[in-house]
Amino acid sequence: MPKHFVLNLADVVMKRILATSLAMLVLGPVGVYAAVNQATDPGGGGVSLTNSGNVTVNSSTLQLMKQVWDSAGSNCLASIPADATCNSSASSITVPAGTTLKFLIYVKNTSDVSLSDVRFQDLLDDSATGFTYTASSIKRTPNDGTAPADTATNATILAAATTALTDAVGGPDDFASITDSNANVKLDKLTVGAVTGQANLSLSFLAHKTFAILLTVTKN
Amino acid sequence: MLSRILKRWSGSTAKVFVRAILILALGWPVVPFAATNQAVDPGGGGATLSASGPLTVNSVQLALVKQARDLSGAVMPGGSNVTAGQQIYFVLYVDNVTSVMANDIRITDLLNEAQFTYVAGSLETTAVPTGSNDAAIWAGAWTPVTDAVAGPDDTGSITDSVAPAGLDRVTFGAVVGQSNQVLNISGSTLRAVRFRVAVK
Repeated sequence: MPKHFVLNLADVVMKRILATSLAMLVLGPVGVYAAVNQATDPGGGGVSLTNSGNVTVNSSTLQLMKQVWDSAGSNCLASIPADATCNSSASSITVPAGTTLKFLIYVKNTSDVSLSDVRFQDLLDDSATGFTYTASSIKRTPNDGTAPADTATNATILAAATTALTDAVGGPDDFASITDSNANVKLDKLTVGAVTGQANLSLSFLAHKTFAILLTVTKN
Repeated sequence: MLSRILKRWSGSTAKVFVRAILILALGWPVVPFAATNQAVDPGGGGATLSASGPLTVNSVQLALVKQARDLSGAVMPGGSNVTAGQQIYFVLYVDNVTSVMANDIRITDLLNEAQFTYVAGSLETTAVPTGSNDAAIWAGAWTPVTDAVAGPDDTGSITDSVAPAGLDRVTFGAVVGQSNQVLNISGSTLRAVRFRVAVK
């Protein structure tokens, strides 16, 4: 009987672990984490205080989106994570060699607070079968009240990426840069924000807004 | 530059070499090259971001194909006989096997005037679905293209580029030095051009 109970318990535990693992796979990396706290009167003082009640703080990991568009910025060809509004959720695409494309990278701040010191980077494959970056093609969206909302469509976000940035890490400095990180003698390492080793201006943007970077490449 | 595919031997009968119905390469067809990238959070900032995941872009080299055909549209096999004065077609085509538009396609074909005489006003073009066979290409709706580089401009032209006098240089698209309208080929579309020559 005890042995039977132990086996059943193990079975239940394994099923829960499996279910949790499956849920993580399905939901992906964007989690919402809740923390509940309250201030209380520990007692013993001269005045009795009523407890504050619970205050709940949720946090979520914001998702980097990367998409490839045609050179006109008219058609989203593929997106990762997949997006049903982008070429029927395609996460890969085949194009004629030599085709000029646009990469759109964005973060939607779906939280209620502003973000500060946001950093991300993208290392382009600059091999003979990879990409050739188009010099001075980096553009960004506004990072103030005129930025696209966190509910904006992909097309709206892309259309708002109109502020040109220099390729250089500094002079004049801005929010992004691209450098040559390997022996291929081509610009391949894009960083945004104050990334260690290739630091730009520190990037902040408002709650419920989207920040995007747009750049042009040619597929070799 | 495209080279001729026919070669005259001697006398009133010319032996035709169809040099492989040449696949004059912009490259070999349908060799995919994959490149995968993702945007990531390098760490150290004020907000944690989830990596985008890998985004894959494949590319394929599109092939430029050249054929010789008789006036009925039949593709001429290697070793076909033609006679001096006989007219034949040259057909050039690019099959965009991808779903994405191929932009700014440029084609040049320099005729050997010692062996061929271009038939004035014979430039034409058509678009058919990708993968169309020889018969389907021929059955396409052919649209005339003027010989002139401009006025009215279109996607093709032919000029006299070298002695002796005579039209000998065919270009399609925005070829430097003999520029026509930009030639784009929609995704999943085969674009063909053709023109007639008389064998000398």
